[in-house]
Amino acid sequence: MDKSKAVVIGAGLGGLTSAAMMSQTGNYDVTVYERMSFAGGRFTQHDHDGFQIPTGAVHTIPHGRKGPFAKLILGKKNKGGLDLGKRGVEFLPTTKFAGMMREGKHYASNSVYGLLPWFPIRNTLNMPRLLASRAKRPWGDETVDGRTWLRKMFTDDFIDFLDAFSNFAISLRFDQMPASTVARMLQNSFWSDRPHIPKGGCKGVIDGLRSELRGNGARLKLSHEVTEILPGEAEEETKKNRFCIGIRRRGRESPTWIGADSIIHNGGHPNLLGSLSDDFEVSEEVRRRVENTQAVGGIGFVFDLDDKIPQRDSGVTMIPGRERVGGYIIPTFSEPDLAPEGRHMMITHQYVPDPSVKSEISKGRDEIFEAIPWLSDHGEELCVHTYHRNWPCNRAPMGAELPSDIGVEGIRLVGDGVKGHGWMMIEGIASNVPRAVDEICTSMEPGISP
Amino acid sequence: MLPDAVLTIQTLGTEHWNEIPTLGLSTMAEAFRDKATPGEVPVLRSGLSHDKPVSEGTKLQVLDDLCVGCSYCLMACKDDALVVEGLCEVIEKNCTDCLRCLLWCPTGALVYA
Repeated sequence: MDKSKAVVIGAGLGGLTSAAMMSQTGNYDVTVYERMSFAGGRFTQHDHDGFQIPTGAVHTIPHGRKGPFAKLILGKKNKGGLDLGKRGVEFLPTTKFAGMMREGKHYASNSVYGLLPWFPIRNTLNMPRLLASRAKRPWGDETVDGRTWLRKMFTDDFIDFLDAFSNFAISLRFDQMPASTVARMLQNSFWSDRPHIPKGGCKGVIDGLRSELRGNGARLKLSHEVTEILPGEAEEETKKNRFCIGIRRRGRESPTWIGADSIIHNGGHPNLLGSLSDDFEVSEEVRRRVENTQAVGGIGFVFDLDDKIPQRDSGVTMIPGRERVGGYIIPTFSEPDLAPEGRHMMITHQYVPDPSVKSEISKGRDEIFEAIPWLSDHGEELCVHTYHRNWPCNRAPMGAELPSDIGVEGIRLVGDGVKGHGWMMIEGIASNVPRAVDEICTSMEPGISP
Repeated sequence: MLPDAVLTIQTLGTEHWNEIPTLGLSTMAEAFRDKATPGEVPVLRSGLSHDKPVSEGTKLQVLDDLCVGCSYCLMACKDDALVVEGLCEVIEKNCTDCLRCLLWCPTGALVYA
């Protein structure tokens, strides 16, 4: 009996987790196609002279063991998780919950309650108001931005601190987000665990996912680019399938055609709409939303630090009140293997207010050296990553996520354009994957090719 | 005695043989000396749809409108042949045509032309 063919396009975090979920059911023939020569996308790392330099995700699991990511990766199978603990995936807690670098002075706290005393008492008293706001769903036609809304409850220095956190995590400022998204994001962070670092960095998780795929008989094809998605009738050999996908191997001229009964796409809406043939109807409204969605850019510096730095914790440290830089993290205090022995690695993140990236980089660099007094004595810049256009931080800004379902039966999107409401970074990707996979599975009859 | 990486690849099978960036070209070539089909090795020496395979007289170049400055190529380069600050630039005299950068480039901005 032929199994239904499930194709996953893109081996990023969303694609690999979806593929792993589908392969665990054992009902489908799962293949992942990745156009690049490596798996993991923006959630993996380069080995650069012993420094494990992240390709995007700063080696951080923002909500630790309580977030949707941990639930998906480490959760038991009967609870909808992938149970990758068996494959060697492990999360290491950061040594502090969060920190702050204000006017050259470093603060660090062990819990969310520990950071409230850094700010005027009014903020602590008003915290229940934030937590009691109904924000599980977007509020609809929102005219109030996040910053204006928070002003009703909190003092400016506390908002600046939270704003720096948002800048570090999702590369957006509060005044660029709807209030309900800001509220939900802060509520999620309040109730969550401290951030964790995956053992072995982001690649540790990706390797776990890959070994799970191999163990379940799913295939991962690197350097295979999807050129076109046609209806199954288009080619003789894919007549029995719902879709016919053109796959071009790197370096080859012409594509080969393969059949698929379902597609999970991890490559962003514009790329999907670009490869989808006109035989599929996509509503004008969806097209317009995709066209109007601007990907979010960002700039990240990686510094090589010596072992004499005064700060000894791996908590996410916010730099409030700066125009560009949001904060930094030194993950090597939790996972020393991310840098050579006796060295540390610091990763910063800043958002890009201006499209002229080059000047933003030098201004950001100045801000970092100004904000962290010990950096010039103990650190050396390793590289600067910029993310924008077709390789952004997030394919859709937080609070303006695109739909996973574009109205074509059998196709769902996953990844950073379709995060769940109020979930940041990889938590957002993980929060949406189970539903997308569920919908795809119900759209296919297991075990039988339609 | 083959290095661990080679043994890993050999057990993984040929579908993973494109993962050169993490392993190094010579290691890969060694691993697949017997397994790779003749004529497939040159396939490695090319990039995405818009670039041409390496041949005499072509040089590594950056397409500025595709480059986003992500620095992946810089991290992959072992010869100090690249500088990235907003955009990637090639220092020709250092480049040894090892193609590691090209395989890491997420947008296809590095080409041989």
